[in-house]
Amino acid sequence: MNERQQNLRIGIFVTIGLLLLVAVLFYLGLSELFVTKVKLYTYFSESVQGLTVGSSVKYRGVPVGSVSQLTISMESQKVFVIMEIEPRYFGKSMGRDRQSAVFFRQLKKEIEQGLRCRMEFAGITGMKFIDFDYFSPPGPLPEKAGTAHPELPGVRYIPSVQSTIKDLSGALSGSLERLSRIRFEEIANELERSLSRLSEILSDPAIRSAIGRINDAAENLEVSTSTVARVFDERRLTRLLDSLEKDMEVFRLLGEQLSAYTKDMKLPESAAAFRAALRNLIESKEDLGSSLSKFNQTLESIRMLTDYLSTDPSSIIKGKREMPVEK
Amino acid sequence: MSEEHAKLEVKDLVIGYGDRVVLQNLNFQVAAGEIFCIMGGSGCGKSTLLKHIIGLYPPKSGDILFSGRSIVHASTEERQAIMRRFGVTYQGGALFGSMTVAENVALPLTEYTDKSKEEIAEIVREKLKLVDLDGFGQYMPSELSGGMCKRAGLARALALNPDLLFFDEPSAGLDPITSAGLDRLILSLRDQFNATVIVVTHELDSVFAIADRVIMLDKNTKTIVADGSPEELLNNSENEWVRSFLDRDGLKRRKKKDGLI
Amino acid sequence: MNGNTDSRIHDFFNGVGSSVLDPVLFIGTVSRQFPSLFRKRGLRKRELFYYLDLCGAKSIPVVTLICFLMGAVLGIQAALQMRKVGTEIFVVDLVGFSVLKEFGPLMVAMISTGRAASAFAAEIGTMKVNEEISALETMGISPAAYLVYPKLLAMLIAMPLLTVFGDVTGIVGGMLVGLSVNIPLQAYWTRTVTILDPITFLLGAGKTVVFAVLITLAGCYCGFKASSDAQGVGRGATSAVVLSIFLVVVADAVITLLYSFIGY
Repeated sequence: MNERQQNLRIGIFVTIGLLLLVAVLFYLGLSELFVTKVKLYTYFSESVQGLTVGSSVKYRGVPVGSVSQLTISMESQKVFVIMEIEPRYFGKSMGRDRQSAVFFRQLKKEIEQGLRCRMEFAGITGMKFIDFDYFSPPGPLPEKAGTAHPELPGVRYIPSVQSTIKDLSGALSGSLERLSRIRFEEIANELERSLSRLSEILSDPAIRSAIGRINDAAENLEVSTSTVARVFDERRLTRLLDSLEKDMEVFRLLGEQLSAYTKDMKLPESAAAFRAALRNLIESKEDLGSSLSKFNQTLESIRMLTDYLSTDPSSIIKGKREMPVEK
Repeated sequence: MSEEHAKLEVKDLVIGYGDRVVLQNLNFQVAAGEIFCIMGGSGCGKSTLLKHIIGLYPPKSGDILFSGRSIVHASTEERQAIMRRFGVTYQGGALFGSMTVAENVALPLTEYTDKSKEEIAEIVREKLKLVDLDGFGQYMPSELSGGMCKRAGLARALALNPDLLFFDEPSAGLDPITSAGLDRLILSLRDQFNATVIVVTHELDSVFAIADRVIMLDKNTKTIVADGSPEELLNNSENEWVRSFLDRDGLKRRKKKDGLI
Repeated sequence: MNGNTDSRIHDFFNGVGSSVLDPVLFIGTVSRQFPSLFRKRGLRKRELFYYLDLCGAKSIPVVTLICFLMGAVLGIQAALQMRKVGTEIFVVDLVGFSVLKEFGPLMVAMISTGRAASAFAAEIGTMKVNEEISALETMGISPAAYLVYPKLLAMLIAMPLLTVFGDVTGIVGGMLVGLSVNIPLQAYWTRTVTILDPITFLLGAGKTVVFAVLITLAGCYCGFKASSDAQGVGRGATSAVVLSIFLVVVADAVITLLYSFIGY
C-alpha cells in the first residue's frame, strides 16, 4: 500500500515533469523548427551598432523574422546581414516549398516597387531592428535585387537604404562642416581693420581742413562768378581776367597743397585694402548662401521629425509603433 | 587452505587511533573449530581489536593472517573477498532499518551469489529458523526486540556460510535467560557446522559456558595478560587480577560482604 | 616550548590537510565504485525510488509554492521600477530571465538542501552509530557505492525535473502580477515565448545537475564524517546543510561566469 502510494507519487512527478519539460521546450523555441523559413541577405554601409543576432525583422512593424548572422564583408567594408523570415506572415499557409517559392516571387515584385530594408531604433535602449518598408523615391534598382547569393544558394538579396538617423545626422554634419569652412573670423577681422582705417582717414585734421579750404575755394569761385556777371564789360574784363588768373593761381596752390596732403595720407593704399575686403565679403556671401540653403534643408528634416513626433510622441521612447499582429 | 595454518593468526599487532596506541604486542592464534573469547575490562579495546581483525581499520603495525593470507597487506578487492568469508554479529544487530528482516538476511546473497529469488528465499527461511526467528521475515527491524535484532543479525552473518564467526558483545543489553539462549545457539552452530567463533565479551557466565580459550586484555599494560581455557586461568593464572576477574563465586562473596546482595 | 609550538604547527597543517584531503578522498572512494553500478544489482532500485519520492515528488508542493511566490515578488519589484518609465512590459523580461537563469535552479537547490542533504547526513550518521556501515563493509559491500549512488541518481533525476516545475510556476507568478499592472495574459505570454529561448531554459536547468552532485556528496560526506553518537548525527546534518548551501552558491557563481563566456 505504502509502496503503491510512493509509486503513484513518483509516477505523477516524473510524468508531469517530463510533459512540462516538453511543453516549455516547445513553446520557447522548438516550435520554430516546424515553421518554414526563408533567408534574405543585405549589406549595410553604416555602423550596425545595436543590431545583434536575434534582433527582430519587421515588415512595417509586424515581426516577421530575426537576424541570424552578422559578418563583415572585407572587400567592401560593409556589414553582411542574413535574416530569417517566416513567409507565413505574408500569405495563407501552403506547402513548404510552394510557400517559399511564392514568397520569393512576390518579394522580387515588391523590391521592384520600392521595398527596401533599413535599420531603426527599437526604443531608447540603443537596440535596433530591421524594418522592411517602401521608401520614396525608390531610386535605381540594384541589379542583384531578389537574386540568390553567389555562395549561399537560397539566400536572396534585398537592397538596404540608409537609416533615417543616418540621413539626418549626415545632413546635419554636412551642413555644419560647410558652415565651419567659412572663415568668419578672418572676414570679421578684415572688415574691422578696413573700417577703423576708414574712420582714421576721415577723422584726420588735415583732411578736415582740406575740405574746409575746398569749401572756401568754392565760395570764392561763386563770389568771383557773381562778380563776373555784375562787371561784365570790356573795361572790367581785363581786370577780371587778371583777378581770375590770380584766383586760378590760388586754386592751383590749393590743389597742390591738397595733393601733398593726400599723398601724405597714403589714400591709394587704403582704398586697395578696402577693395580687397569687399571682394572677400562678396566671395563669402556666395559660400554663405549655399551653407544657408543646406541649413534650410536640415531645418526641413527636423521639422518633418517633429511633425512625426507630434503625431506620435511616445515613439521617441518606444521606437516606431508596432502593428498589432492579427491572429 | 592446508591444515597446518591456524584459522586466524595475529602477529605482533599494534593498534590505535591517530597517535594513541590502544593495544600492542598482540600475538595469538585461533584454531579451526574453536570458540575463542576476547575478554577485558571496559575500555580496554576489545571491540577495537575486533574491528581491526575483521579488516575495518588498518593496524599501525603487525599482521593478521586468515588461513595464511594477510588481511593487512591485501588489496581492497582481495580484502573484500576475505571479508565475505567472515560473519559478523554486531552489538545491536546492525540491521538496515529500511529493509525487512528477510531482506536484511538476503542482502549478502543477492549481492554475491547468482541464486534465483526462490533459492534465496529458501536460504533466508532456513537461516531464520536456525536463529529461532521463524515467521519474522516480513517484520521491520524497528518492530523487533533487542535480542531478536541480534539473532536476525546473526542470521544475516550466517547467510554466506562463513568460515569465521565474530560476535561483538552478544550478551550486552540482554536478560540472563535470553543471553543463555544465545550462548546455546553459538554452541550449536559450532557443533552443527564446525564453525570457528570469536567472541568479544565480558560476561563471565557466557565465557564459562562456551569458551574453549580466552585471552585477557589489560588496559594498563595494553597487551594480553593471560591466554588459556577459562578454568585454567581461574585456577592457575599467576596474575592476581585475572583470577579475581574470573572468580564468579569470589565476586558473589565480596558483594555479600559489602551488603550488596 | 619549542616542541609544543612545533606540534601545534604540525596539528594545524594536519587539520588543513585533512579538511582538504578528506573530501577529495571521499570523492575518490565514491568514484572508484562507479563501475560497480553496472554490475548486476549494482544499483538498488528501491532506494532510488525512495529518494526520488523523498527529494522529488514530495518536494513538488514546496517547490511550486516558493517559486510561484518568488516569481510574483520579482514581478512586483520589477513593476514598481518599470512603471516609473512606462515600460511595464519589461516585467516579463525580468521575471522570465531571473526565474529561468537563477531563481528556479537556486530555489530548487535550497529546498533540496533542506530536504535531502540533511536527510542524507542524518541517515548515514545514524547508520554509523548503529554499526550498519561496519556491517556493510564486513559484507564486502562498499558503503560509498551502496549508499551514495542511489541518492545521487535520484537527485540527478529529481532536481532538473523540479526545476521545470519551479520555472513554470515562477513565470505564472509573474504573470499574475503582470495582470495587476495591466499586462494582459495574452501579451505576457507572447512576450515570454518571444524573449525566452530553450537554450536559456536548458542551461538554467543544467545547473541543477551540478547542484545535485554537490548536495548529495556534501550530505553523504558529512554523514560519513559524523561522530558516532546522537549529537554527532545532529551536527553532521547541520554541517551538511551549511556545506551544501555554500557549495551551491559558489558553484552558481562559477557556472554563471562560465555561461557568460558563451554569451548567456
